[in-house]
Amino acid sequence: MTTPVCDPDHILCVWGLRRDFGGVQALRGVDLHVARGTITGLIGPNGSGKTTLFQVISGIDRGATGTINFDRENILGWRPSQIYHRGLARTFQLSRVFPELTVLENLVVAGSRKDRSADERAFGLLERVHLREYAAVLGKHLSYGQQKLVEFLRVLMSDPALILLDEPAAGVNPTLRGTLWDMVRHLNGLGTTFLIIEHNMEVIADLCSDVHVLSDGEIIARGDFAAIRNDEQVLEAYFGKGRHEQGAGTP
Amino acid sequence: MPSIANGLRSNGAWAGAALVAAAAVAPLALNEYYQSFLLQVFLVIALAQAWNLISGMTGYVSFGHSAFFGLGAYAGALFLTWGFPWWLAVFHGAVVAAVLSLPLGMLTLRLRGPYFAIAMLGLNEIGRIVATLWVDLTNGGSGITLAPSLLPSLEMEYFTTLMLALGATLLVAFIHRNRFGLELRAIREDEEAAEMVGVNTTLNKVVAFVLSAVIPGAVGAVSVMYTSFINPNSAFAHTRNVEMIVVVLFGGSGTVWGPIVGAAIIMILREMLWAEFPEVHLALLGVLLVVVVLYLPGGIVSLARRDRRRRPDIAKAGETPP
Amino acid sequence: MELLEPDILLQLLIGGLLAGALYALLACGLNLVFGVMRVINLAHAELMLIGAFGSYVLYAAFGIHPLISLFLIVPVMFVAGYYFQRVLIERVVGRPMLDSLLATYGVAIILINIGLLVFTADFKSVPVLQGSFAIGDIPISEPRAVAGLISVALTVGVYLFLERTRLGKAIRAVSEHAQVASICGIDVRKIRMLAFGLASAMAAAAGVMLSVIYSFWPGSGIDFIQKCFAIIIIGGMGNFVGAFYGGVLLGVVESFVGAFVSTQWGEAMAYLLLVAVLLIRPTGLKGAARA
Repeated sequence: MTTPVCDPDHILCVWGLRRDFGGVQALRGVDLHVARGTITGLIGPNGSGKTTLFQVISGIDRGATGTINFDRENILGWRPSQIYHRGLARTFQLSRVFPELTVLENLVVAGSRKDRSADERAFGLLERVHLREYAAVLGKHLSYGQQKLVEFLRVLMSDPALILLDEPAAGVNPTLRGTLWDMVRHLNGLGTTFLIIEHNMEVIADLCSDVHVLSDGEIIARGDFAAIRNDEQVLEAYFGKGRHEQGAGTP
Repeated sequence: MPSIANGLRSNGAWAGAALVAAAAVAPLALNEYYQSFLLQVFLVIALAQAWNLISGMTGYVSFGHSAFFGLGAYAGALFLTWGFPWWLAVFHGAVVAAVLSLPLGMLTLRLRGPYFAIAMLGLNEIGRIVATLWVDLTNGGSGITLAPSLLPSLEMEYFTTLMLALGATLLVAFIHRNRFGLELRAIREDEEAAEMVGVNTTLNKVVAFVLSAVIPGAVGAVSVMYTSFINPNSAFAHTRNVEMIVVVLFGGSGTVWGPIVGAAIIMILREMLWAEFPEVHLALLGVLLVVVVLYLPGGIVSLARRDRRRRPDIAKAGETPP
Repeated sequence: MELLEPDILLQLLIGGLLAGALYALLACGLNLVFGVMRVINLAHAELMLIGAFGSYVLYAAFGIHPLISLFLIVPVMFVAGYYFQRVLIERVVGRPMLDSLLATYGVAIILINIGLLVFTADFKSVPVLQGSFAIGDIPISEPRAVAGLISVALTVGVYLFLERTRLGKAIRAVSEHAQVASICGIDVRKIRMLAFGLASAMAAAAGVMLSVIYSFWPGSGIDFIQKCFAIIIIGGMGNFVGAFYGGVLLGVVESFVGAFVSTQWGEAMAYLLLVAVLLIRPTGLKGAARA
């Protein structure tokens, strides 16, 4: 069987991704394509495998089979650090800021070793989100929302082409949330592609041009938000058979 | 970077230089007894900094780093008996430890936290067993006695150990400030997250591990020349393990001055109070270890250092982890 | 080759099983503590030596037979372990496992050196049980038989306690999920103290058994704790039955290797097994799917 070819317009192509955890099939042959320059959403009920998918794509989880093609290269089996240097970055659902490193150190360590102006880059990013005065503060002394923001900035240090965001706004107050989404829009305008896991449908509707729905380890629907919100399978996945009504509690 | 920290650093450098200068001229003023004492302090500092590198900075806490001390000790003793000049034997002690640490590190660094600690403990015991069983090479349990004619003078040993302590400290200080050290600390904080932001954790860990083995290798070789005798129990003794761990934890793990402060305090106390009773010394080290783990995880240095960094309001309203 | 006679093989097997029973008793205690409170007690082998030296002292000073001092030492060590848990171990529960490793390492060092101060480094033993008897044509050493069988009995007893009694089930519940157990009304702190007391008692019992078959000195613990680690890692951390089989297995392997190669190689088997397991399963070695 020949490997399918990824369209040059797609920055990420995933085919037939399977991941078993000793009997539990977390991913059952996921097919997913992310177009360059878009903000693409990934939604689905809890336990559908969204975070597992991110774990596999980003290289932390090495136990999957299938094909992952990023920017014309097959990256399945690569180390996470290799994938990061190739241009694919990812954030975590719960903040994983380095607690005993300063904010500045948190950012600089994520930049390239050869980057002489890493400090300036870092300050510039902090400036953008009004966190410049916190540069010398230890990660553990930040509020949770600030930590998530710093974690987001961290992956920007290497100027990635594709960023996977795993519920970036969870637990963050509305003001900082706004800052975050503004940055996403701004970066997207400059060419960065985003794949975002989110539960907040307003955000998805507002931000994403393309949405994939993952349920029980498979992609069951794809399209723009308006199309999927009325999709039978999607409603069934979220609310179960026969329990949904038009307009009531739909995503 | 805040200028206060910069100021501290240059003060620290001046203080360090002064200490080294004092130590360098000390043999002129001190008799053999005090030279021996300082020599042992330098040995402990060197070992402590090496342990600091892999355990304090990288977060891979080793319970068996004395294995490399033992390897270096045996290598040093053997090369000496094979006719090499003493300083080359010391060098070879370091080399042997470094070379063996590469495969051993690749094996053990795959383990996390306590499992790594236990594996290293096992490694030390394996070293001892190999030294006992490989009688053709090591003379087994009877050990090797070194002829006095082969040994360097006390002065030479003194300066060699001073150089080792200085070298180890400078290595740690240098790494502490540069990119490699930053990556090691990130690994310590959260290895997976570090990998996710581009840090090649395997390479970094292995390099740190090998560096942390080279120094004990050299120290072991010098030590064997100081005592002029080696057997499996003395080479792979737990005393060294305990000292390495307690000196660093007590002084301040992951810092540059911590091991020095810790070594100085502990060795001086030992000399003044219970040099005659090694068991008392070790038992008290055990007590100190328990106390530090329970009540003073940051070590002495953390008492001296006040957190000058701003603390913003924690947990603003409406922000809770999901 | 004479060694391959069935009688000899059987003798080695039985000897190995009996020795392994002692390891199993010790390893199961260590495992119990790990299972209930996620603490790795590096001083566990020294608790065993307290039992061994206790047996020695009671015999040398008062002429008390070890099998009698068993009934004195075990309850005392249970109580000692119970309170020791509250004083020290409890403080490292919930902290990273490395902290408990370091703290108990400190305790081990303290105990070893107190032992050296009191008893010196000379080997001690309690040679009350001597001689051997025969089953068919196979000679079996009496001390080893007694020690081995008592060890098995105690281990099985603890197993039944954990499986059948309410308290035992409470202990197992805390091992499975401490938070849920506390919601169900179990006094988790008490259970931890109990478990540690039980493990200490088991270790002390193993020590009394030890005193009867081997000679020992305060530094003997280091080899034993390594064997325990090898056993537990092979059998699965937190897995009581696994530790039992692992202990017995190690005893048998040591016995055969000791006979066919050399006693020193036999002693080294635990370490070799440890290395082998590290090579095969390097991913942190989580037994029973628990960290």
